[in-house]
Amino acid sequence: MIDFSRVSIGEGLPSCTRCAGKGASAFRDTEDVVTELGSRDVDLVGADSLTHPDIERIVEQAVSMAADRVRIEVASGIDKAKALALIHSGVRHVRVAILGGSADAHDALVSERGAFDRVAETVARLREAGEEAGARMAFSARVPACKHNASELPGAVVAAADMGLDAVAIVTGDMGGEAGGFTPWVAAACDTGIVNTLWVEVEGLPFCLMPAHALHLADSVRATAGQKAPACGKCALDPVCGGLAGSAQPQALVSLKRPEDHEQLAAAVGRARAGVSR
Amino acid sequence: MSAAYGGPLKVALVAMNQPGYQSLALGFLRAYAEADSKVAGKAAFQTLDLTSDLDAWWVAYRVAGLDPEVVGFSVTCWNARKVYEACRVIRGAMPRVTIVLGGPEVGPIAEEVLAQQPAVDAVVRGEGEATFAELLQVIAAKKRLWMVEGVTARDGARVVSAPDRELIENLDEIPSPYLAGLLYPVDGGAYLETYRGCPFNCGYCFEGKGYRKIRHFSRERVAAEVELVANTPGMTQFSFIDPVFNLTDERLAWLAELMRPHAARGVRLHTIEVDIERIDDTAVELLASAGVASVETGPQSVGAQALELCHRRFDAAKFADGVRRLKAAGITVECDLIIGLPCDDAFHFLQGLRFVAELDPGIIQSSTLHVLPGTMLWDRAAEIGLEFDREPPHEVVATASTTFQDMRRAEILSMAFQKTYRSRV
Repeated sequence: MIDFSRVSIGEGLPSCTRCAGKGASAFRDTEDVVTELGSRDVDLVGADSLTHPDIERIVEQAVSMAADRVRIEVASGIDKAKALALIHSGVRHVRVAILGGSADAHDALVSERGAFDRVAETVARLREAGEEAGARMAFSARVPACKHNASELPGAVVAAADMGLDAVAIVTGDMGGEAGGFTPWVAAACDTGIVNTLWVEVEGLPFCLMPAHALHLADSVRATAGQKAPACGKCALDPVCGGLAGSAQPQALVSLKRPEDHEQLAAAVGRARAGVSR
Repeated sequence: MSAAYGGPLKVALVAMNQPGYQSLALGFLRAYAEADSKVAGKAAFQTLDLTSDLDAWWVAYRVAGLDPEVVGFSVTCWNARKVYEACRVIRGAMPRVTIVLGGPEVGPIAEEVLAQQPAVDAVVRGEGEATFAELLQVIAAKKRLWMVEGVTARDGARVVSAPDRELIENLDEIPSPYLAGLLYPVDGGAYLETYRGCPFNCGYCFEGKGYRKIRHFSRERVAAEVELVANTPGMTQFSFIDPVFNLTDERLAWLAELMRPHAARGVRLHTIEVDIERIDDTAVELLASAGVASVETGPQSVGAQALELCHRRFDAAKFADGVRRLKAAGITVECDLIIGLPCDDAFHFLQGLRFVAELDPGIIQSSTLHVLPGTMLWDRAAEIGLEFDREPPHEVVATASTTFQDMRRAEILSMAFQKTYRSRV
């Protein structure tokens, strides 16, 4: 409903090191970043904002160019002065990566001891700073999901709830051809969110794998031309379903079945994402 | 000294409001009774304006401390459970007290309430002022409660409803609780009522209270109330409970004229309910000159079938235009959406959320449907497949178009959305 424009500030955010190894941080040139600002809602993605040397200037620039909501992702520690500086520059939305349901699980997946606790502390510091500054803040989690942490997904949602976060975005990666076995964990994570009063949004899964949880996919699925392989078959959801994300093999797609109510579901999703006729 | 010893009947009036609010209903009730020649001098009143977050046993403790002979509660769907619990405790502590309930939650289902709440003696149905005053006379005379028009009460083991009472034609017969000194205006929490009834008949709403026509308080009286409330020391903002502030263009102009001198020195009106599709340049100018800082409006839903079922019109272009005009004038618009109207599914709600998010009105509020007694949805629930909790506040469980799970999902999604929406520079 609120479509943040994604502007990359670099790379190196925490991700599963078993999938891709531990990557180095790298930042884009600040001037290049600034040229991409200009939207009302801006999501500064890709790299840990707290280690970016010009992050406050980027945020101030976004605000001066009429941004109402600026989101940053954080992975490192923060002191009170820095927290207040970020908020004064205009940050109101903060996102953290959570890969596991416990500190041990998360730290093992990102290959960094203490990473989970540091993120939790940073959230707490930014929350306190927001209260001190009289700023309304929103905190959320990005949960990169892959074959290595599928069973951790419900726990990751609980961890997010314990941190007092407001929402979770599960972003699916390489499921290793096991999409059918993967989605029960995603569904469980969605349901865990509901009972913990935490909204879970899912990116990168087709509706046919989670028809009962279609609402969790509806707003985040981005239809990408050519992403779905022919094995998906013709389906009314094609215009709104992104198919399987990541490096899905065609064999994985063979197991996909068009949902029985695909036409009804497609109409519902289309309705939800369409504007009201004026 | 109580009525039992020749003194006046001791009456405790109790409301459980949202924090920061006072009960206008109890104010009217007491003002009418105290002015009624048949009651004046024969009943002594004390009003407890409590908050709905209080423990029911503590409420009962406060009531018992007044040692009343009659306890009257103002009941809404939000405070009903606490009120019922408080009544049970009061009954146990004070077996001979007469407990009377009134308000939109109990009036339409009076017999059901008495059947389920043995601690309660009587329910005042509909407009309560005249009925309650007569009821007090009957209580004092130890006569049968159920013989009072507008009352449902017990006759032994039976529950009996007297016929409905005719509405008060001349609303000025009800003294203003503000002008009578019974309600001291609270900054931000003072509300004025200029008419009763509603021009619309939305299927989920009880604003119209089943009144078949609109009745107005006199303009002289309203003007006097505005003067008193606006001039109260420390008053910076108050509001009106009228369901449509811009009922007519002429009426809006008159209200703006009343408010203009106070608005000029900084007094504001908040959360004024408007028909936004009728907002034009003139209306904006009048609202701004009246000091309106914020308005509240729909659309409640953008689903065509749901709107039709609930007798609501919706013109997206006019709605958007009204929001745009008010925003341009610096007036915050609160747009409300309901989750779970019959014929809507969760995706209709998403569509509604997208619609209002795009308008960026300032405040977006959504909540699950609560099926209120006396409304069309309450009456037709079984017919249209509307499942709801029969216990107050009567939250929707599922409809024919939205499963229970999707209802909960939509609610959690809306909470996350509101957090995202509100967090901005």
